[in-house]
Amino acid sequence: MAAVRRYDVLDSPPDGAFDRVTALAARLFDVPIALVTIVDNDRIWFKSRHGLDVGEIGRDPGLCASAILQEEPYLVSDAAADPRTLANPLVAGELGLRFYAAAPLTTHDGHNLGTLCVIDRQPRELTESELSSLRDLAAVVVDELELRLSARRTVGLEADLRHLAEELAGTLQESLLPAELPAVEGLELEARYHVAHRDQVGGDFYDVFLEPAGHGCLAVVGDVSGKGAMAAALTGTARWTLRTIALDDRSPSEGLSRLNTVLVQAHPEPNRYCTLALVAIRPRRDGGADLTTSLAGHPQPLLVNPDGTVERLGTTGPIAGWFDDPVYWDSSKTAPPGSVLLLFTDGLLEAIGGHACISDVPLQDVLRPVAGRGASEVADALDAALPAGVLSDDAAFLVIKVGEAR
Amino acid sequence: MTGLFDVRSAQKNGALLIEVSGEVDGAVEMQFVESVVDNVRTTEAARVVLDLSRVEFMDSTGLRMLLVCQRRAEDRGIPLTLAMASSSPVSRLIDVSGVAAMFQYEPLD
Repeated sequence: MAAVRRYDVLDSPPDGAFDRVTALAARLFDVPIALVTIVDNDRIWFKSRHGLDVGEIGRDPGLCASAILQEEPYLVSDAAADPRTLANPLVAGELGLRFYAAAPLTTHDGHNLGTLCVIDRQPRELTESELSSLRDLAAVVVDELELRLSARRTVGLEADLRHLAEELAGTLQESLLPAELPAVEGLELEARYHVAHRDQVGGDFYDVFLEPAGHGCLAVVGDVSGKGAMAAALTGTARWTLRTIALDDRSPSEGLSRLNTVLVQAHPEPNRYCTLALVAIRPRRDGGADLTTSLAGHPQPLLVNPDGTVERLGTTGPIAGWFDDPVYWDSSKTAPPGSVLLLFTDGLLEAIGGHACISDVPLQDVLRPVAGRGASEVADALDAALPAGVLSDDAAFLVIKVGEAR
Repeated sequence: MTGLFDVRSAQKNGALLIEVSGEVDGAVEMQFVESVVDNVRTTEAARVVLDLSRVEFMDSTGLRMLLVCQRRAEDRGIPLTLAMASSSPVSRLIDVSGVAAMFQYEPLD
């Protein structure tokens, strides 16, 4: 209970980040109800609820109250036939709960605060890999809680959660971009984002997700068609989905297929799509890195070799979020030590090549002279090549320098 | 001189011919919907030809509009074909976006 108090999360205002996780969980598991629950002394309070109108319930045994006593996910395939749960009011009562799966929200110091759970009125089973996705999503919820805790400590105790929530809403664009890129051994990372219209949320995004077991990372740059709230919503869905894909250790092409399915289901109307470049980067012990690239309607990333030659990476596949069953390709390439990888959005092509330019040749001309330099130097050279004044379109890019032997 | 966005349409041998010229981007989204997409949605013609050979620039919003046209035509069972040279800006955008196989093309004479 002390841990719950420390995170000061009970009865806090609704928070988009948690609502996105429950909405995503409901879609991933194809269930009507998904909840982030926090367990209090005498009640179970819902931090986020998707598909349920109730804000809290009693601490009756069998469901969440039992799930938080465990370290592993808690699964009830058919609650009406399960002795652990058949007396629970949610099962016996009006709700008619039959299927319940919960992963505990375990903090980094080992306390269970509550659960991320998915609920259906039909009995059903979960596969091992689905259970592990549920565990991963629960870890995302804990990360968000930790983030809020550390942010609150930084800004001082008087800044309450509501204030933070408002601040977050005011900087929606920033919340759609990583606060800082992770550290990846064997790589140097640098990202830049240039917004064309300050008053609008743009459609470009980038991120770097660490893969489990220290394999490396998944770098992504994407561009959502259109601007404003709809584009932001789609960007949010794409980033959260990609994060779980990186945790699942899928290949980039499998990741794009999975993301496409989520986008088609989550945003059927109005018609929106996004283009993405995904590169899985695995640094090698002897220097250099193995790259696997997959593209969804996005300009090819460029690999600048130390000798100044420039190569395009990846095979073009269809835009994501539009077609029911697109085919994506993985292309493998070994980047030599000292090479530089550039992922970018088409706004950069136009910014450097001039109005209406969709060729990457002018961009290659900027990159060649800075071959072998550090990531921030390359990014500075690109920034210096941008025209003065306001850009006509957003431009985002991610520079990744591949290290020498470790 | 880069051209302004413009749309002309005509009926020819039972086909609706829509000719788009200039720059197709977010700035003309509403005009494109009104002059092209709505036309495809309501036409009585047996087929639609979208002539894009005079489009000088198209961005992702423009591509989305093309895909919407394609979807509307499909919904109504009306064949829609695109007309432009393979070196045109629209062709290159369609190639980069990986959607070339999703459209039918008008043979150029």
